[in-house]
Amino acid sequence: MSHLLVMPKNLDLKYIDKIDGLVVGLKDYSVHTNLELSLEEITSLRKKYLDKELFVVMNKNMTNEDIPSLERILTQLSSLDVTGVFFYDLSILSIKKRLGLSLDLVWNQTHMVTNYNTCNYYYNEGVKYATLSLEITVEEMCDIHKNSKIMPMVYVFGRNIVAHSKRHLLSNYFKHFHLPQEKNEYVITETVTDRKYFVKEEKLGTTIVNNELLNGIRALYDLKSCGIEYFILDEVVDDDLFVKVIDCYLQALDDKSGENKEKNVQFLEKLINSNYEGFFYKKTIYKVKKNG
Amino acid sequence: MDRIELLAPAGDMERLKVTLLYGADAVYIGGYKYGLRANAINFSKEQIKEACLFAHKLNKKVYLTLNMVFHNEDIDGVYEYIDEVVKCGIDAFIISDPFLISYIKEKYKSVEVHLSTQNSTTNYEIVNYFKGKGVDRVVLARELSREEIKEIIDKTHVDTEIFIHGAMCTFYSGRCCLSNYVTNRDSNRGGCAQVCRFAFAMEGEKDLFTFATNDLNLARYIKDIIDIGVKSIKVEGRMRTIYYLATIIGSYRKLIDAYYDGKLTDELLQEQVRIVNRVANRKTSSHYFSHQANETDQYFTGRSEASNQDYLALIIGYDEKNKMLIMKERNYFKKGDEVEIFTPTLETYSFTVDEIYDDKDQSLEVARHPEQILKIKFDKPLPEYSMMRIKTKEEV
Repeated sequence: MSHLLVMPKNLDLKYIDKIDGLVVGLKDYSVHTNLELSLEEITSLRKKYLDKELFVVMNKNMTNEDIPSLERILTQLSSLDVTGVFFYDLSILSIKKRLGLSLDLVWNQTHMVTNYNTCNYYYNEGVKYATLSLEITVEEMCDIHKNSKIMPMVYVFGRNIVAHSKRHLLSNYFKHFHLPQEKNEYVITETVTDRKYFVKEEKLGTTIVNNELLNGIRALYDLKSCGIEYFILDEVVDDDLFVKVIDCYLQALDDKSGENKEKNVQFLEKLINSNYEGFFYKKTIYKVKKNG
Repeated sequence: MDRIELLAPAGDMERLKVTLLYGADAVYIGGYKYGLRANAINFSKEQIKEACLFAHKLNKKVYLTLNMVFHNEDIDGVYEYIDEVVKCGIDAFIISDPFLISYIKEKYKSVEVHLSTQNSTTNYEIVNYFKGKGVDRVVLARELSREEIKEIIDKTHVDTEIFIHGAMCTFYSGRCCLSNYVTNRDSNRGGCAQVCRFAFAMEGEKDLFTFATNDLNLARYIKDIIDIGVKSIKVEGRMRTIYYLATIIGSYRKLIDAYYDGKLTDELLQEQVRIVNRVANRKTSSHYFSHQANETDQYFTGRSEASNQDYLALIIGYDEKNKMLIMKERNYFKKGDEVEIFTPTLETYSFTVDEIYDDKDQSLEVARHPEQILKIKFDKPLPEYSMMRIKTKEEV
């Protein structure tokens, strides 16, 4: 059975009846999420939408200082009955095991979820889900699903995270050049390729985000064909457009035979004005020189 | 008392020899596969064996990087590769993907597993987690302060390694795929194209900028680092020149030994800091070790690597009959120049160049041809890999 999750940008949630669950950030413990909520707000959300899956993102790199509060927060989340916690930092896995918490975890190391052996490692450590890296192909994703017991999740709409730093790169830039900083999000252009990226600065650091909208509808068809069930849409466009995007993905999920694949692919392409498929069908390389 | 380990980079056999001879206690190298420098020269299995033999004769160690973030296609063959390089004599593997830990630790009790900085380990909880998995050493994230490192050591009692000198990443290790998106080269599998050093344009601004950071340089904090209990300090730069490596490793060796021998004076510290600053040719800073990294730790307008010509010659032999050192020129020098020769035994000889001869014993006024074989008067032979540099008291 397929699950369509959304990372909402606010709590209007006009589309809540159409989807299976939400993915929200926990304030002060998540980075580059659309929406960060306090523990109290997450508690209210849990109570309000009891029939929906609710995942909480805690994907920052934790410091020593965070550890005691993490113990408290994870204990609270386990009693809240959230569906799972997205983690980057392994302290979360360690604390869960150490305290024996009944809390499902999602291995969410953005660019490092790239093979079935490591997925199996974390599955054996008690991790139920993994968000697969967007820098691998659909074929690799299907191989991971085939060869591991972990439940894979794939982001199929949004803007890909490219890099994350502890540094406050925008503040540093504007201080260095003695220019006024007017906001916390700017567009930069890489001058050789002329490609644009968003730079977003927040308290916990700076994130580079791809400017191109990920169109993962074709990938969704192929991923569900190989048995992957969890798909995530990132609400990075206006409300009305996002509802149409959800509808399009729902149609694709309902299209069991795949007969409307090309129609849906073209429809979404026109709707969001993007045919960018990231690395779903493009392999990266890493050896450019021969050394044996 | 066990001394802190000085861990050096070695991109090839010559660099390995130079760094070990200049005082490194161990070197880290990459094989042809599975490391994070896929496009460096790296070592064949035969060379790994030779490297281990060379190091072990000196009672030193060799660590092999196996720290790429594996894709499915990379898994086939990795266990066989581990078996083969263990036979070559490797003392430790530096790994990133945790699925490798149990294979190595269960099969090879005497081979250590070091968790790579690729994992960006920033707290004691993670260190304790991996301690429970049998990891022998954790290479901590470069984003940590002195106080955070100390707390991790105090709360885990696990061997910790930190970077002390060399190039820094702008982003958290493992959390940067700029290279993938801009060049299609996979940074987490060793293909990093160092896009942080490319030119970017900021929305609404004319001038281009880069994300590049200053190099890390913690030489002036050596006492602090030893005092808080760090087990190993690592120098970055597998592809740096032998002159750079000899200078950096030699300086850190002097500082470490002086500390343990109770001879770490301010004067020695200042002198060695001056030397390492000068050889780097790049702006350096202490980054997170001493403060939250800020705008002073970045380049913004490109790395101005003022190339200096300090490195004058590599000593390659001795003419007993004429009492002259034989050397291969690297940079211009002339009669009357104040120079110094430094050696793997960490001795330094300062003198004025009175005479220069070519390989046919013809007298020269100036040496102006890099690679030319030259001779200068000297009263004794010096060890292999001794080097001559210009003597200066000024910073670049």
